Order: sequence, then structure tokens, then C-alpha cells
Amino acid sequence: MPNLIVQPTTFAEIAEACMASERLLPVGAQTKSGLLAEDAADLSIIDMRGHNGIVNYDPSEFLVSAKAGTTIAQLAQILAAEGQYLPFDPVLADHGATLGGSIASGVSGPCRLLYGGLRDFMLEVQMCNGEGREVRGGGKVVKNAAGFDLPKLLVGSYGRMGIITEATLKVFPQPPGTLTVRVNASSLRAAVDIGMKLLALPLPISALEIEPPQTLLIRLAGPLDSLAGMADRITAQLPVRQAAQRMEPGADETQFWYERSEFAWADDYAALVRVAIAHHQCVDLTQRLTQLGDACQCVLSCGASVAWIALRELDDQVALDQVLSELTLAGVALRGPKSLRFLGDRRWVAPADRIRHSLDTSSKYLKFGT
Amino acid sequence: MSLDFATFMDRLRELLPGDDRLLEQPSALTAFQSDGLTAFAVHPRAIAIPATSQDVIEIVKLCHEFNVPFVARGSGTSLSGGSLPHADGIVIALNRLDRILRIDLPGRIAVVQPGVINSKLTQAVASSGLHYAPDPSSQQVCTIGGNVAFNSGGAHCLKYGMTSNHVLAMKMVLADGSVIDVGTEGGEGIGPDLCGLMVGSEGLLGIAIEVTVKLMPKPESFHTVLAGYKSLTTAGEAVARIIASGLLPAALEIMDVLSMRSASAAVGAKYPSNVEAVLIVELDGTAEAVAAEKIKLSELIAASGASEVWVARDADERATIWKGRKSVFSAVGRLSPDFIVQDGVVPRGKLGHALEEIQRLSREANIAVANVFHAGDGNLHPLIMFDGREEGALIRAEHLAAKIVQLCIDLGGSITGEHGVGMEKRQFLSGMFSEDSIQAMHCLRRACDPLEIANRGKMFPSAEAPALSLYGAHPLETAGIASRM
Repeated sequence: MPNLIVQPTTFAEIAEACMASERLLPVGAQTKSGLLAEDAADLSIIDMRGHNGIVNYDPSEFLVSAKAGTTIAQLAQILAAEGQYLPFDPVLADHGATLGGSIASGVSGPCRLLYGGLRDFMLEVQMCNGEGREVRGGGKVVKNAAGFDLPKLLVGSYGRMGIITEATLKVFPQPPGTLTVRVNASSLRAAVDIGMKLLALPLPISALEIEPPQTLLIRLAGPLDSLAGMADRITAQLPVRQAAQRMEPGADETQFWYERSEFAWADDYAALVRVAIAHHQCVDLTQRLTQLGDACQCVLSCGASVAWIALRELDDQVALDQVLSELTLAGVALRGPKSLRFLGDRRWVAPADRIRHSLDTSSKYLKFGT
Repeated sequence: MSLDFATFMDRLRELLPGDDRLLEQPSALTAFQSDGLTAFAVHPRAIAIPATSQDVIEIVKLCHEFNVPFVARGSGTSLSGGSLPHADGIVIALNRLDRILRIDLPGRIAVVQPGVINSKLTQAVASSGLHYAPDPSSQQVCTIGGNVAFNSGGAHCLKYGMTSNHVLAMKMVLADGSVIDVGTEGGEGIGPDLCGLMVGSEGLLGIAIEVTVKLMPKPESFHTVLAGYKSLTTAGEAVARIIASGLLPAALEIMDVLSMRSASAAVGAKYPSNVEAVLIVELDGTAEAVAAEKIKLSELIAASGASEVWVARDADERATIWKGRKSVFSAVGRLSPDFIVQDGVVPRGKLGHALEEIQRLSREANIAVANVFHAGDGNLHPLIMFDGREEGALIRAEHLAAKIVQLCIDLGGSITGEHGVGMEKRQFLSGMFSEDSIQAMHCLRRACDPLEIANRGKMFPSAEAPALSLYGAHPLETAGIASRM
């Protein structure tokens, strides 16, 4: 049977669709299309874009509540007007990413290092379960320890635990200025080592990315007057022969990082895979990726805690799966063939499905294990 | 004792040989009968003291096999009765699992056992310039395992978050004895954030046996200001002014006159005279950033109507300010034989209204209430003072506490900012969450603990253990099982 597409604009309509359907998949702007499973049959695809709008924004409370279909671009614009921002650096805003899709995909951007990732800014969530009932967790205050932390649980739930219908996020004042330092290290290992050394310094580093073979990008955020002095302290940490260039505060510097949160570098690639790593795994991973040749490009992001791997050919995803399995690294394809959505180490799947099943007792949402 | 329970105890004795790993004598049980919420006391059947992770796993498996409730416990500093024992169950005391297993300085992480004391971790990495950021007032004694279970906060949550923002990964034994790994070292996971679910689950899902935490660079520069105000309202308005300016202080704390008096009596803390409230503001960061921000802060405070402003000139003066602030909970003991600490949260903009209401309720009940709070987070800590030896005094104090919790719910806030629901606030959970939401939480719990043996009777306003009513004697008391101290 062809899949049914539903376009609700209210919670009641979402609930109605849930009750009327056997199998459900919520979608936003489909900017992380690899996570979708519209290849599965008999699905009711709930297009959440019509359920949008800011529910509440009071800058003095440091929080914003919005419906799931609200675009990140709209949210960012409203916050910017008050000098605030989403410190986890949401990705693919220019492509139309929605709030609900951003939470469900669990992806934070390269400039998330200052205060934490998406999970760290989740205060409250409202979702619709398979029976069409409203379930809420968290609260509309910046500090709260009541009940289980559903807002965090739904980060990375990939539309498989329920439909996220509304969320409240913590927001912060936007740092007055940013400056970027680019370092050409002597090797990838040297770049990682320098990166780790810099992150242990008490400097407000908002992004640290490594582009193989050996380029290091460091972004500082803070009062404008303080940036040059802090950049000097970064260069003072470098071995003398390593050249450092600066991108001074301004529109070009802002645009540079904005494009990185849009993955502009991966535009010409067929697949984009996000891999969770630790600093000591970076060298092994990048060495193994060289076996895939020019068909693959990798960026080590978020202080070497995430590897973004772009693949020219969809077929290369099988080879990548193999590499990640051997290194016991877990990955997820945000773009690519849906037959190979989750790559490498899949030990997270069984416990995730156990928890998923407890929330989705009528089994209307897809399993992680499928 | 049922035959089953006798068999359970025999098996437990085999598992924990020696005379100091399974305590059953009444004097030992008394030592574990209460936690930081001393108003309640329950004797457990036994105290199990594991020495290894494997011991913990085996004990939990045994509890599951025999359907025996267990309460995992660290230092027992919970202020919500989170580690109050179950009368038909055992306490699993995790204090001997106190090893720091691995420190990865380049990766800025530490892997610790649950019994590690919060401040010991920071001490262990001090020479590297890193620290473990969450700093609950009890950090000298509380354990990381307890912090994880109750998602502890502290004075620096506004900027740095709570415990859950600093826990990257965990090895957990779920209440059915299965062992799972959640989270990732780098903090960027694949799949749903199970680590986020486990932190703050109040011991209802299982026990963390290894915790991987984030270590952060210690800020190189601090600027700590203590400003005195003629009223709590003006101090509250100063907070609003600072927040609106775009500054992000590491801490924004307010103490009222009773709190100041307590801290002075207990640790000799000094405060400006003739003020009704003090505001403590702390900026941190690089020397460059703090230098720029402190000018802005001093202008804001000068314009806020402060009658006196003290700036900490060195690390000692900063430490003195914080010593006074962190001593308040224990210091109130100098002014009153007993007290109840509340932990509600209100939207920051409603702080002034909440404080006025608390003062009105305090006058109405004729019960003194000291106020100390994390103003930046809207997290109140009213300390309700009473003398437990007076007939009915506890009940009256609890009535007042209940009204304050309800006030926080009515103002759109939370019943707890950092102490957890535990035993104390379970009947208020339904004031925050609908039946469907609480049902979903029940389902999550049963996925990990089908028999509901882990910290049974806590957090949920459940029928299984009758709700602890704040309006009269607890059923356990009537039955002679529990007593109030």
C-alpha cells in the first residue's frame, strides 16, 4: 500500500492521525533524509511542518517554547533580535530544518563547544504517543529535577519513540564577538594533540574542528576587546614552525562557520554519516578512511567528539560500515541509502528498543532495529 | 521472616562473606535509617556493602530473583528522602566503590565508581588545571553516584548546568540485573539519549556502577561581588537587570537576613549591616573577558540601589563569601532545632512575587522561614524552622512546606530544582504532570525494573506504598515501622 501523508496543524489533528494509523513516522523538512524510513510500507507519514509557531519567548527567562514544525531559522531570528542564541549550534537551518527534526536527529553543530550540545539545552518536551495521548516531561524553567528526563531521552529518538510536538529550550546571550584561528599542523596526530591541549585551557573555545590531513580550526567567543589577546594565547601554545592564520571578527568569519553548520563542504557527496568518537580514535579512523580513497571526505568536529564522513558513492557506505564495525564506532547516515541507516557498532540498538517499546506499547512507531 | 527472605539472606551471606559486608544488627540498621531528610526513619532488613561492581550486579540479580526491594545509597545526603530505606528491603551501600578508575587528561574525562566523593574528584585532577564542575553544597561528603541519581545542582548551574550536563556515559546495572552501557566518551551519541534518561532517575531504574564525567578547565579568573540591599525585592530586581544586560554570570545567589544571621553564627561569615538581603554575583572566565565584564557589572550594581558593595580582592575573600553561602543549610541549625528545606523553582520573573508570598505564608503560619536561593535559576531554598519537640510543630511546618511547593506549581515552576522528588514530594508530582505523562514514566520504569524493586515507593505518588501525607502521620508511622526524629 502506498504511504499516507498527513499534514496536521494542531495537536488534536496529530492525535487523531496517531489513533487512525497502524504505523507512524513523523517528518519535518526532511533535511536528514537518511533517518526517514518511507521505504517501509503502510506508513502514515506525519508531516509536522504545519504544526509551527513560537509558543512562548521571554528573553529574561532564558527559554523559548515552540511547536515542533517551527523552523530553526525562524527561532534563530527571533532570538537574535533579543541578542540571544541557541548555543548548541543547530545544523541545516538554511535547508529548512525544524525544531522537532533537530531534536529527533540529536545533531548539534560545530560551534557547540562553549556550553554543550542539544541535549544540554532541552528543558521540556511534549509528545504524542501511539494512542494519541499527550505526554510531557521536564518543565518551563531553566532548572528542574522532577520526574524522568524525557526531554533528553527524545534527543536522538529518530521519530521512533513518539511524535515530538513541542519543546522548550534554554537559550543564552550571544557572545559579543567571535574570531577564528586556522593552524596547519605537522600531522593529523599533531592536530589532535594541539586541539586537546587547547581545550584544556580556560579559553572560551566555541568550535574546534580538524580537517584531515592536518588543518585545525579554532573559534573563540567573547567580548570583542578580549579576542585578540586570547588568539595570541592560542598561537603561543603552538610549536614555532606551525603557521596560524586569523579570521578577524566580521561577516566573513560568521559566514564561514554558518556554512560549516550547513555542511556545505559535503554538498556534492551522496551520503553524510555522523560517527561518535573520542580523541584517541581519530588517527585510527582517518587512516582507515584513506583506504576508501578520494570517494570519502572526513571532518573531525566538536573537539574531536564527532566525525562527519561524506561519501561520493552510496555503495561506499557498506565499506564504511565495515571500517566502523572493526573500530567499534557507531554511526548514523543523515543522508544516504536508507537500507544502511545505522552503521558500525550497533550495541546501542537493543537497549534503545527496550526503552522505546515501553513508550510505544501499541508498536506504532518503527523500531531502531529495523 | 518468610522462608523466601531467609533463603535470600543466606544467599546474600554467601555472596558477601565476612562480618563487615552484610549488616543486620539493629545498631547498624539505625545508622542507615535516615538520610538528609531526617524527619523520616525506616529500619531496612539489612545493609549490603559491596566491594566491587560485580558484587553490585550479583546483589541486584538476587534482589530481582527474590523480589526484594533495594535502595542504593552513597553518603545519604539526600534532602528529599531519596535514600530512605524500604522496610521490607535492603540498603546497598556503595561507599566502598570509591575508586577513580581512569583519568584521561587530554580527553578531559574521568571514569569513577559511584562511591567517589564529589570534591575528591576535583582534588585528584587539581594539578592539571581541570575540575569537576557540579558543586552541590554537600560536595565535601556527597558521592558522584548520589549526584547522578538525583541530578544534583549547585551554585553554578545557570552557566554550567546540572550533573546531567556533566555525565557523558555510564555502566548501569538495571533493576532486573542486566548490565547496559549508555552514552559516549565524547558526549555526542548515536540513538536516543539513554544516559540523559538515567541521570536523575532517582535510583528507580538501576544502579550506576561506572560513571564517565566531563572535566572542565578551571576558570582562570573570578570576580565575586557581594551587594547588600534594603529589601529582597530590590535584590531580585538587580538580578533581572543583570540578566537583561546580556551578561552570563557563573552564579547569582540571594540570601535573606535570617540566612545571613545563620551563616554568621555558624562560620563567622560577615555581611553588610542594616540590609535585608545580599546578592552574590560571580563572573568567571579568562582574565580578558572578566576584565571587560566586571566594568559592566559594577555599573549595573551601582544603578541597582545596593546600599553596600563588597568585591572579593583575592581567592581567600572569594572563598569566605562562598563558605558563608554554602554553610546556610547546616547553619540554620544554630537558629532552630529543626528545619525543612524546600527546593521549588519559579520563573525568574516571578521570584519577587514568590518571595512575598512565602513571607506572607510564613507570617500567617507564625513559622520563621529563612530564604537562600539560586536567583539566576529561580531555584528557591526556603528553610522552614521549627522545634520538633513541640507538639504538632512538624505537621505545621509540613503544611507550610506544602503550600510553598504548591505556590511554585501555580507560578508555572517546578517542585524541585536539584534535590529530587524522593519520598518528600511524591504527592506533588501529579501537580506537574498529567496522568498520561506519569503513566509514561511508569512504563519507562517497568522496562528497566519490572518488579519495581529499585527504590520502591519513591518519586511516584503510587498506591503500592501509601503516599507520605504531609497532613498527618505517615502510614508507616502508624504501623510503628517508621518514626520521625
